[in-house]
Amino acid sequence: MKAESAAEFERQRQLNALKVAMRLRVDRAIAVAVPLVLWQLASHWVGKKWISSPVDVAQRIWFMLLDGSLELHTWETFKEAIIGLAIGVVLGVVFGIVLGLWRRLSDAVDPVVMGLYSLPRVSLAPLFIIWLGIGLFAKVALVASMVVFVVLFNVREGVRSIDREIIDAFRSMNASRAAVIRHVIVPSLVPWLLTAIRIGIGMALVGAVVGEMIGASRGLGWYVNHTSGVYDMTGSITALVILMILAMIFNGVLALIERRVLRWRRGSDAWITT
Amino acid sequence: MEPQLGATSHGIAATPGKIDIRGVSLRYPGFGSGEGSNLALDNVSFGIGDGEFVAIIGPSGCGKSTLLRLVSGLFPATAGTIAVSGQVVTKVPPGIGFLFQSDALLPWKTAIENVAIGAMLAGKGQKEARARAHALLHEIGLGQAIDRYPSELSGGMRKRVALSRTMAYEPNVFLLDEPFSALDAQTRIHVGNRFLRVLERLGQTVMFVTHDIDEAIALADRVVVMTAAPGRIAAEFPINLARPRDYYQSRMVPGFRELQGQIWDVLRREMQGVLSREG
Repeated sequence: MKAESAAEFERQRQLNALKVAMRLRVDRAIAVAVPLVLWQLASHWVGKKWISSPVDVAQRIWFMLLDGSLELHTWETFKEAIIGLAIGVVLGVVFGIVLGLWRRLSDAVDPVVMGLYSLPRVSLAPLFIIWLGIGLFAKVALVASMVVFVVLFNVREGVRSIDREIIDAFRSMNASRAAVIRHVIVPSLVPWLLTAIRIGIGMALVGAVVGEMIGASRGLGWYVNHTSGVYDMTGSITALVILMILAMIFNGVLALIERRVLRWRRGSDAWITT
Repeated sequence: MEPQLGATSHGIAATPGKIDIRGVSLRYPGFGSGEGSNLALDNVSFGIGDGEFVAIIGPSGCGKSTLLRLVSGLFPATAGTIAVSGQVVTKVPPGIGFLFQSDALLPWKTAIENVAIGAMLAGKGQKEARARAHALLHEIGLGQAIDRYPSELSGGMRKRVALSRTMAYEPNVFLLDEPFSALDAQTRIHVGNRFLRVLERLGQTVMFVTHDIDEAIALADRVVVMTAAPGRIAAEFPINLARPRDYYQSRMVPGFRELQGQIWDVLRREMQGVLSREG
């Protein structure tokens, strides 16, 4: 009888989990649908020429898909963001580890690093364009310059918060430096790095789009600039919607990675995001 | 002075011990050359025989945990020498099993993976390490929990995983730094008994740091009392209770209270020193 009730309890628990998951899906569908409906209604009152409408935007996406411009612009912005993000992350990890381990250097350069971090990196865009041209590289550089600091600060903090006793435990068992790095240091930095990347995704898109607005011949930022210049609101808003979808895909992929990598964290809410 | 007090170098010269600590001092680097201000250990000398279980007790901040770290070679002493198994310690000696105040487990590894790391660091292959970890966790009563992460284990279970990892490394010297201090009273008795049974069976040399007099007497063959900072040896007490012992029941044995009283007398004098300095 006891086993029976335990099985029943387990069944109830699974059913509840399923219910919660279903409810989340429905809630999220509503969270998308309600603003779309309101927007559609508003477009009739305010006028399509100011705010376009969901139907027009959907239509535009379809046309852009057919004539290949969707792929052209999205792929360009995606490349700038992902390559810049990758470079920013690699540089941020390297600098973060060095500054985390080397206290004296970190203290010495801290005011300069904070100064650079607080400098609106957007103002570097014209310089990058002069140095690197209006192609891919200027935007990659701008994106990397925006991402690198958030990664640096997170990794530096991560290095400093590594549990000393775990390292001592490994050293007391005569673990090699390589074993300490592999088993202790790298895995303890993973959560910090994932947080940094999560913040970095938004920054990467800002960098790519701003770079394209200042000087480019393609890309979603260029498309916003180009269409708003001729009062094509549907075009501008379409580009924004695509950017938003791009950001959601980035975040979704990251959430999947987090779910796999941070399984050991009880109470982590990573599992609920997708 | 009572005969057993101040017997700092008694019997060390006669038999070369497993651990030999001679004239060890440690001064933390710092500015100002104020005497004693950053002296953590002051000319400490004593030995621990092969297979002996020695408890070190003293007021907090007396450098007893620091002494363990010096023996393990994690950092060097300012003066004096330490030898483990006849070898002067200049780096981490082989066969050291250090258990820390925190359990120091890897949070991203399951219990069995954590324990297997101990065996792998001792040179075992992955498969053999895992088999050994499996056996050790079963032996210590954690057969149900081998695939759980540390965050899913209670404090007492984590301590047992940590001990299993240390055992998987197959050390011949165990250095234990207040391993039960974070546990509640009941768990402490349970986990204490598990530890005691394992350590008695292995019969290896144990250096056990604690601030609990009862625990020191219940576990050890000899209790070394240290002074307030800078740490020196204040007294040593041999404990002649029969083994195997019980972590809790040992306290009911005749003679226990007298020993406890004697050790407390020494410790209280040291604590008063600390308190008067603080006041």
